[in-house]
Amino acid sequence: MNNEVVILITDDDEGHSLLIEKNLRRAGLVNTMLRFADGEDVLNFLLRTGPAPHRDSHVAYLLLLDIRMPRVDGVEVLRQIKADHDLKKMPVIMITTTDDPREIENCHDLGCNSYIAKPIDYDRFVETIAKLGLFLMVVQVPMVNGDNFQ
Amino acid sequence: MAHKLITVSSSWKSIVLFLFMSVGIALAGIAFYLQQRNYVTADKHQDLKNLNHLVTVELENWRQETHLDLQLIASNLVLAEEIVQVRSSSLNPALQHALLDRISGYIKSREYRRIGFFTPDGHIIACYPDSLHPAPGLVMRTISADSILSSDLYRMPDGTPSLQMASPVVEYINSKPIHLGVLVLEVDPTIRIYPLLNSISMEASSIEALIARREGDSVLYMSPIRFDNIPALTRRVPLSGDVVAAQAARGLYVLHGVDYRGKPVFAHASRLSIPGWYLVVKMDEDEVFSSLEKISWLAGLIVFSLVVAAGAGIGLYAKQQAARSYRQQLQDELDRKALVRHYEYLTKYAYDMIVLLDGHAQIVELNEAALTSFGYSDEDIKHMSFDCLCSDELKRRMDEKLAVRSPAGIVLEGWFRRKNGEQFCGEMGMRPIEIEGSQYQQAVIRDISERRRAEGNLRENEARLRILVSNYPGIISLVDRNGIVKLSEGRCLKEIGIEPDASIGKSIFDSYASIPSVTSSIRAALAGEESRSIQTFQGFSFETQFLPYRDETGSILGVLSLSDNITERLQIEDRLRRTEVRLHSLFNNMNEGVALHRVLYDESGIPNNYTIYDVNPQYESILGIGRETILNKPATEVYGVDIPPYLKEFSGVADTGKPYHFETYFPPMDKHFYISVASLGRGQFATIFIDISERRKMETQLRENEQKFRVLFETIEQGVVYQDRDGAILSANPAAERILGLTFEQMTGRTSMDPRWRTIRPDGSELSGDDHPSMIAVRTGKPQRGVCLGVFHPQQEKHRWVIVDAVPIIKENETMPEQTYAFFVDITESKEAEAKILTLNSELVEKNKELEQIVYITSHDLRSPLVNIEGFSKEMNRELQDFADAVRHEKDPEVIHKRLVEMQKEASASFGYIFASTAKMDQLLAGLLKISRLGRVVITPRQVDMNHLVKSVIDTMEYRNQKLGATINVAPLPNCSADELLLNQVFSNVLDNALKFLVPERPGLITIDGIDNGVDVTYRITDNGIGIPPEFQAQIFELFRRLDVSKPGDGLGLTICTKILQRLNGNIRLTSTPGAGTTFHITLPSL
Repeated sequence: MNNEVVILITDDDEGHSLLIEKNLRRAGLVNTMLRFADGEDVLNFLLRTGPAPHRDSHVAYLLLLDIRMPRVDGVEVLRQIKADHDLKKMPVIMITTTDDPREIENCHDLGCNSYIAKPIDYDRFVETIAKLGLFLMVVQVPMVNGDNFQ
Repeated sequence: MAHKLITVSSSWKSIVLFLFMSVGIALAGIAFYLQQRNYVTADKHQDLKNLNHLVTVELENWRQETHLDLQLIASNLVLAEEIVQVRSSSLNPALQHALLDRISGYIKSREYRRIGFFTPDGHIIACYPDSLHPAPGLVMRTISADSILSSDLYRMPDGTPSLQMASPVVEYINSKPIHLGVLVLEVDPTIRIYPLLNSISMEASSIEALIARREGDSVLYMSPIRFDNIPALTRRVPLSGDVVAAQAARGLYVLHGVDYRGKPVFAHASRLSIPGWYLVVKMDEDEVFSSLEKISWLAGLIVFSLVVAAGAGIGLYAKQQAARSYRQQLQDELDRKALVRHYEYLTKYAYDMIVLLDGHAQIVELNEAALTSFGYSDEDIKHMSFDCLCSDELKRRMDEKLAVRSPAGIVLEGWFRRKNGEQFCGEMGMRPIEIEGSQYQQAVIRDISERRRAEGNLRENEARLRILVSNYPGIISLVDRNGIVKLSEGRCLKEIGIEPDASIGKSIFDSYASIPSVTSSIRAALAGEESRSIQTFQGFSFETQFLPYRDETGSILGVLSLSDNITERLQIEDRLRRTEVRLHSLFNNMNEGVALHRVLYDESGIPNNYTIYDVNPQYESILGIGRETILNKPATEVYGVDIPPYLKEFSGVADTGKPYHFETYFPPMDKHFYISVASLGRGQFATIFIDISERRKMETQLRENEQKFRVLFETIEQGVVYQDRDGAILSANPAAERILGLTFEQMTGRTSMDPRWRTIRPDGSELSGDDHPSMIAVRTGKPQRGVCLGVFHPQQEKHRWVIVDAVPIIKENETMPEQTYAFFVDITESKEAEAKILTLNSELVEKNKELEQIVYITSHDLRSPLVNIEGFSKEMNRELQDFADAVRHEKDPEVIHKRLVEMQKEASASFGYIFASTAKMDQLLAGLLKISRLGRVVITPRQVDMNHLVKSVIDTMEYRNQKLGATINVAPLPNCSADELLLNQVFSNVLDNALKFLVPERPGLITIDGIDNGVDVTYRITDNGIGIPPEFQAQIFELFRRLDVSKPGDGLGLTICTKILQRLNGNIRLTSTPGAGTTFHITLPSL
């Protein structure tokens, strides 16, 4: 993956965001990572509504998204992203504590690219995030607003 | 003569027929030619249309190709860069060259004449291969349209036709288009366009494709004109007129007109995609119809041959007709001559006398028979007057008749005179005949003297016989050998309404075909056999004797039948016989036993016994006594008793003649009898009796059964009612009275239609009387079973639920029921229990759903802190490990200290997350405990003084509110039924919520009021806080759901409110306008 891709980590639990970032770094990712505390914040960023910061047109993004968040939850964020003409090509990976199969199916129906359950066991958590890191290193990410692939 | 006429008229007919046929054939030929012409026209139009389409497609392809070329060049990104460079270098030739070099090969290969780049304001940047002058305004239009545009075809100053197409060259900077310039391609139409038109032209054909456009009041040919050798873009024709190009410009497509030469043409036009351009494909009319010329020659030839053939055929036919008519004439002549010879022969040797008279009644000619009869010689009689041969009386009558001059002649009977003075009676026919132009009279005379005499005798005999016959009391009739009635007489004819002569002359076999005994008897008599038989005719009966009658030689001439009317005699006989048969049949077949008795009297005339002199078979079978053993024996002996049974009653009837009947038990036979006694005249009587023992037994049984059923009817638990056809209740049992809550008197006559039943279906909808099972049963004749319905119980003032079976009662020999009985069971209690179970079930489903939600949320919310605890613990462990590794070999205390500080910072952060997570878990678990406690708390609903309750809630918030400074207005509140403690919590939570989410910028205002509508009470808590967006309004009632994590709270307040109100049979909901405030509506049962 191009180093210029920015990874957006959206989780209402600050500890979780920190642990995810830490482990992605440990897996070797050097990309910029932005953290958001809830769905509303990340939507404001991506849709360029509400207060700044806003996304840049010429940057590729990848979104890691928790489901259960106050106000706007992950499912709603996913729905709005997939309904947006510019954003719908952006890869979205659900990363959440719930492994409820209905929830997983619902997210896949809405068009999420991948679904990862956060294991409570930290060794497995580390392992999962490391794998995610490896995956992110090879994945091709399109520009959110353009037709060209990098 | 007649035959000639026929011939002439037939030849006339032939000529007329020939003319008709010729005209017909000619018309058919013309029609054929016209049809072919239409065909060819349509065909050619289709061809022209297809060709037109072909060229249109070619032109369109060319246009799109050119567009593509333009796009390809204009969208080349490097090009944009180079244009910028050339522009900024103020048209440096080297850069210009580089720009053109890139595309020159392409231009050459695509056979474009020139290419050029221009600035948006029309200044040249670069051209290839030589200078290009853009068509006026093309550059500007292209820029303003921001799309590919085309100039029209035009003539360049040197006269060569040209066409230019232009495309803007655009660069997008930050999605905004920047026009760098315009790319113009010049097309040589003689290479790129005109060949497309010529592709369909052929040397041999006049087909030509043209493109044209309208210019004011004229039309300009944009392509070279084939037959005029005029260059393109020079020739014009006026817009009005028959020229096909002008017609096309006027919007017509299928065309028939003239071309620029003035030659008649067919054409098809179409509008091209380049605005204002028309394509016309035309063809000379001469060429179109050239193929028709051959056909018209051929058609003419065929018509001519057909006309010749028809003429020959008709002539031949007429000739044949004439020959046949001559042959017929010849044959007729031969026939006539043969007839004349035959006639002469007949005349001469005829038995009758034939005399020919001239105009003066002189005898001219006569035959042998006449000479002999009149006794004159041939010489004497010739030229004698015919009058000498007739009596005076005959002469007079003959003159009278001849005076009339009937052409058919006259017929007379009269006396003629012979030469010797004798007279004879003769029958004469006289008629005028013409022989070779002279008029003659021919008289034919027959001697009928003998016949006259015989007739006289016969008439006398007949008159005598007729008197005899007409007075015959019956009917006398005579038929001849053929069965024709010759005589039918007798007085009886009148009685039966037949005129004596009515049947004379008719065949008896026809008249009496329906009475075979007559016709067969007639046939038998004709065969010589006498017979006698009886017939009925029109209600009369006849006995008839059929006798053959013969002539002297004994051969049979016919049949004489003599009929006597025996109607009355037969009727009397018949009546008697039938009465007897009937009585006898009755006697033998009646169900009752009958015995005929004779009373026996003692010396003093007192009846002391009776005997039986006849019994019917039923008597024998009822009493089991044989007929032979009892006849004419005294009753005492017959019945084996000392005193004759019922002697007094029987003899009384016999004496007085008054009938008598009674029922009795006859011990010797152990039987019950119904006996009726009738007098048969003095001293005799008949007993008619039946055995009623069985009936008696059945009546007893019936009474017992009735008793049993009545007890059952009165005591069973099921309600039973009988209803008539209209549904009116006829009978009901006590159970029915109990279940329906009505006495029998109250429900008697009440129908199923009666609105007082207020019958409903299980779903609560009204059941109309027509749909009542009893009514369906009586209507359809089919039992209705297991119908559940509710009937209003007037005492309990509620519906009782019953299961009804309705059974129609169909009487023997009938198809539809007259009554039904309905029986029903009260299932109200079990139905209520069932409803309760349903409610509980739905509650359970609701609870399950909640539980599921709790489990789901717990799985997420409880796991989240665990991830943190585990994660940061391990992180710290790792940190420690790293630190230990680092310190192990490190000697420098400075470095070690630095690491230690770093590690402590890390550890402190990690611990921070761990403590926060455990606190969070504790909070979640406490919340869950709260919820679960709520489910178990015992609820005691009673009247709650709401004004007091709300006041106490506000009081507890007093301290918090002092800081916020919000105004809380409470209207007088209606009371409700609830658990005070729980309701206090609800209002605390809602009010707490309202205070928490006020807008700091404006003074808070909270209003509490309530409405009691009699069923339930609704309280409203309205604030002017931040409000809740619609998408979050449902979420906020969810477990652990917090919309604003910055505010304190556990995400349980409203969940608890929902739970409490569920338990109090109430509910909570909200309405809100984001930014303006929120109203919570709390509904509780009224008092």
